Amino acid sequence: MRYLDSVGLAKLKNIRLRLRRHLVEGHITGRHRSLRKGFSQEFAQHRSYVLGDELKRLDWKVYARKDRFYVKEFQEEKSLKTYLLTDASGSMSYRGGGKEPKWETACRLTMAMAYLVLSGGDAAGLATFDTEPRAFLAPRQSLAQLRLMDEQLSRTRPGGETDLGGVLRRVVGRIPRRSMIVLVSDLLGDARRILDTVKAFHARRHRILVLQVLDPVERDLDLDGPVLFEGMEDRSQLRCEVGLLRRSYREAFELQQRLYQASFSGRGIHFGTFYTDAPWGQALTRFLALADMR
Amino acid sequence: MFSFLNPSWLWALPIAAAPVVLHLIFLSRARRVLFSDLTLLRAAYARALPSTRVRQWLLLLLRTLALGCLVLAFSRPVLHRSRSGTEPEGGVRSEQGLDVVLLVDDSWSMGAVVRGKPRFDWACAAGRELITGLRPADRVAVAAFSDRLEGVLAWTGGRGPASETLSRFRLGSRVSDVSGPLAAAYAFLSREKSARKRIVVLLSDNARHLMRGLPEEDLRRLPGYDPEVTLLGLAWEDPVDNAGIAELSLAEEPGPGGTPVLAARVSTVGSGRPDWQVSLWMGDKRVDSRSIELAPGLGPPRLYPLPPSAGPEIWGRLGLRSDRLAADDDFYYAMRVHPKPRVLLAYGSPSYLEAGRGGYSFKKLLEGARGLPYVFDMTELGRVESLRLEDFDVIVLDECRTLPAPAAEAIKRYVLRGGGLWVIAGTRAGPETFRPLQDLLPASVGEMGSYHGGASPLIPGPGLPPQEGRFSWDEFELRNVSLGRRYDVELRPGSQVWFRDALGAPLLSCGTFGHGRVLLWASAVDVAWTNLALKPVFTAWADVALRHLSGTSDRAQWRTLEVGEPIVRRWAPGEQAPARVQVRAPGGRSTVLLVENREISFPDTREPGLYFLAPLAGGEAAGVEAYAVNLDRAGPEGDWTPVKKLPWAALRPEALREDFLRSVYGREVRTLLLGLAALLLVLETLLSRPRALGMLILALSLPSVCLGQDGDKFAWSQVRYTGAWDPYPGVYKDVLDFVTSVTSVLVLPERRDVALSDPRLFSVPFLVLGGKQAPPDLSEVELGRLRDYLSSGGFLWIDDASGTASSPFDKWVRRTLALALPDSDLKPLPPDHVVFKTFFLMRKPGGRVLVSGAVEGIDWGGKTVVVYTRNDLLGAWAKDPLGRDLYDCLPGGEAQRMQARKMTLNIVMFALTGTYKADAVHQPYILEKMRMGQP
Repeated sequence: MRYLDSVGLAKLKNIRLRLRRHLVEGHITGRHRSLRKGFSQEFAQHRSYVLGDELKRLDWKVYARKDRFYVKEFQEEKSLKTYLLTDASGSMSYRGGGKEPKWETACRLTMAMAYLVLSGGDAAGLATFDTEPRAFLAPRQSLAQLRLMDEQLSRTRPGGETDLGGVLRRVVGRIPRRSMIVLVSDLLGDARRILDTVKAFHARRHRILVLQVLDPVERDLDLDGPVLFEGMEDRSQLRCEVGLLRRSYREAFELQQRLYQASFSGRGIHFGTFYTDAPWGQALTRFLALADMR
Repeated sequence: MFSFLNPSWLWALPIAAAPVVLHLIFLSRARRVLFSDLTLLRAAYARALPSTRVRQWLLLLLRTLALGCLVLAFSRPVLHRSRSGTEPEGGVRSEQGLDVVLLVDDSWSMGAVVRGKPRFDWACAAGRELITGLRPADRVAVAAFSDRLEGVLAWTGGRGPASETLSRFRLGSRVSDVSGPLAAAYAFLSREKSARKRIVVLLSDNARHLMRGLPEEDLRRLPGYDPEVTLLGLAWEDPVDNAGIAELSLAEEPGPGGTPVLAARVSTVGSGRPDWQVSLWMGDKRVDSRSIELAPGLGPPRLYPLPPSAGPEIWGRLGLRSDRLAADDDFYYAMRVHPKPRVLLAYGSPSYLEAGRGGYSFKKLLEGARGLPYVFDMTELGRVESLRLEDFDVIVLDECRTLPAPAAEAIKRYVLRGGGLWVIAGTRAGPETFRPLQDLLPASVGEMGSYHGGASPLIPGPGLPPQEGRFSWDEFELRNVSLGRRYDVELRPGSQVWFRDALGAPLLSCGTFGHGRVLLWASAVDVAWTNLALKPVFTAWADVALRHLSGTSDRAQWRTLEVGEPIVRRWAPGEQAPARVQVRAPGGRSTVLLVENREISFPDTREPGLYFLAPLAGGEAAGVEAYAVNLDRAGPEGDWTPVKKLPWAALRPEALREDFLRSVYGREVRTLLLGLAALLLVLETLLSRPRALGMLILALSLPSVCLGQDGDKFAWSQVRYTGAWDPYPGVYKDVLDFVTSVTSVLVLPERRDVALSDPRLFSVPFLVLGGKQAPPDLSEVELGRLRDYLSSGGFLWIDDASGTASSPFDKWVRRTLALALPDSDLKPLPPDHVVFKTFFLMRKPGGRVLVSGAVEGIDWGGKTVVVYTRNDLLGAWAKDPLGRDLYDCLPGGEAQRMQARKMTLNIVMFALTGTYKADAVHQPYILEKMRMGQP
């Protein structure tokens, strides 16, 4: 496969996606327990009690029988559907100082996440979008889905404008509740609209992971001299002297990132930034490990 | 206020606008870069706009100014200085323009060739350059001078006419003397009382001989000297070697055959030369050439004999090989050499020429190369009237008995016209013999007589002309001359006696007749009568007589004049004067003059050389006469040793205008402008760096960079000690990540490790102490520091990583804390302690190994300064390189790990916020949360 080679697979095999657990255990600050109400719980298995588990979950009947403490573990919906939304707009084909265009890294990340999800037994689907959703693969639980995703991604050429907000709004309808959504995008554009949309997703109780793929130049703007910038999506232009602009650009970028960070983490949305000049494997591992903690 | 030495550079001033132009060009030619999204860029652009704009324009301004200063510096502005002291309006003066008087030296010493051109040309070129450098407001007067002012000083109509006047000057042949011209210049400048700045420029060679007219060579003694007038001159740095012929004259002693000999002296200035060529020219041919040695100073006279010449006119030049100054290397000479007087001996007896007779003696005396310098001819008396007596200068008549009447007439006429006649009475004369010549003779010849009782010596008479410079009659022993017989003569009045005998009777008497002279020897020259011919005095006696009679006292007429001296020719009464003469000058110029009063005067001898005078109409065929005119070598004109202390400012020829303007106006500010340009460039470099000002301030405030006070950022600081002080090296990163992602705390990404003895201890408000084994015991100093640290507001979190109860680390902690804070105990924190509520609501601490369910702490001063966890909280964070957890948390598993993480965060937040959560502000919400129940 193009975006998931054996080396990548080897790395991924060591990662366990454990996000499901949290839904079960609910160790999130600010989460109300009331969420549990109405949650259809199907009994999955017992496991031994360890210090720290909720006493509420103890199965007294088993204790009575076995004189040992066991905790009931529940299974959620038969399968947690994961939707991988990959931004295929024009800005994703930018390659500045990184090793490859953002699109390539985004595809790798998408495939990695898909693999993790699928190998954890859940269903994964793919949707690429620019101004509107383009390709769509319904979630399936088989590993063959990986190949289909890979082909789909290879066929897609990033281009066109981004209307993340509008797209996501349209996609929202097609995604059943309480799925996991993995959004792979560069999040460049109108930050407010993106945030609004993600908030809307969150309100629908989806589990959201946002993987932001960026190029180092978009962070540092280490160009020189007078430059005529031309947008890749809308072809608008901006002429300026980069040396004089760099500092305030970096500040604006920093501000935007912090805004995202704050907004996402405030809502429990896992947010990670991936730069195309860093090895994606390590970055992904760290991100997932971090996400695990919450 | 300014004038520019290189005003052409001012045309380059638009270069200073180049940065702006380039900026605009570059801006329009910005390279096109495809960028993903311009939103951020636009936001940044809007934000940065004001300050960057300012900075941009400031940079451009600095660059423009720097370039402008550079261009101005190249154009060499000269700041007009205002004279202090007597002239407060000095600046005003120079504003009105200058009054410049240029004096060009055209004396012959300016012909010295230096660097390929005569000095005169250099001076004229300098003058032209100065003229072109003047401004339209300036006035200029140009004149040439030598020992006088050649021309009149007047303001020329502008730079063009001045240059033209200058270009018409020519090198002259006079000497230079600066006193007269300078006085005239001063007088000219002081005529008008103007407020303009007055300058006199002397374009001369700065030689000492310039100053010869000044008393004591002091310029200030010059009448009319005005110290307000700026006096400038040229600077020469050339060697002063020069050799020239200082004098040339006719030597006293003629050469062999009576040819004239020239004596010449060469004067050398500067270094001598061992071998220098000197040539003698006669007419147009070179007749002698030799090398002489030149020594500094005036050389000895050297003799140059002239070869025999065809005619009486001898002219030519003595020439040294040309050196720098060619004018004094040639000395022209012209003279008229009188031909040898022609003597005719007319005798009356055929046996006169026999040995012992007078003719024989005369012949021996006058003939031949060794004889006296006379052209000698003899003839018999009978043939006298057939000869042209005018061809002869002297006629000697001897041994006559009777004089034929035509001969006597011819002789009479001859003497009347100016010829010389020597009558020697002879052996056969009688009273009648000389009666036809009665009127001529100075004495009348009488009867022959003899000396009774012996001969008589020759005694000089009263009229004998002394031969000064030649010999003295006393050298000859006249007593030894003896006369046997003589004639009785009767002296006529008006005649002189040259020799007499012992009794006083005249022997040789002298008189004049008409234009001629007559001598009478009252005896004979025969050996029978006297032994005069055998004595040495005979030569002198005959020569003196012949010379007297022929009228030549000088051998040559020396016709050498100086430049400026008029040629004067007077025709003697015997000569026939022409009506008109033509004078040809060395340059080829011919002038015709009318002869008045038998003389002419030709004043225009301004060039040295040979002038030829030719009679045009009438006149004897005397032919062309030559006159030599030479430069005035009397003064030290050929010596241009410079004046020791120049009383004027010297302008260097290579930097003429600059020196001129500087002397006239003032200072150049070029270096100032260059310094200004450099300073502006430095400023521009500093400003154009992206963080220029920030860097500047940072560089200036480097010492004040302080560790701990990073203001708003949390720094993870760990205690460093000798031992395993860092059991989990990378854990702090994950902790900080967690902190940033969960809270809004800003963190410093780097960890700081501080030893207790480190002076930075008091700059770190949060300290973590971890370890598995017991650290080394603290010294007194360190304990003291720890105590100070904790009591002045520091916070210490100790985490036991050993994972066992009562580990050595635990013992050490208790021991040390007891020593450090003896008045407070380490006791478990109550479950409602704020540390369990600072962020997460905690019940239990969690950790890698649940050694104790409680967290211990020390209170001091009302707050908890030490928190001690024994469950190895940090170990729960530890990860392997792939990011998986390194240790399993026992016995609680992942929940326990989560608790450990939360507890860590709580402790950090506790250190940051203190008892904020325990205060009443958010109590209701916290209670609510607690009611919800979080483990």
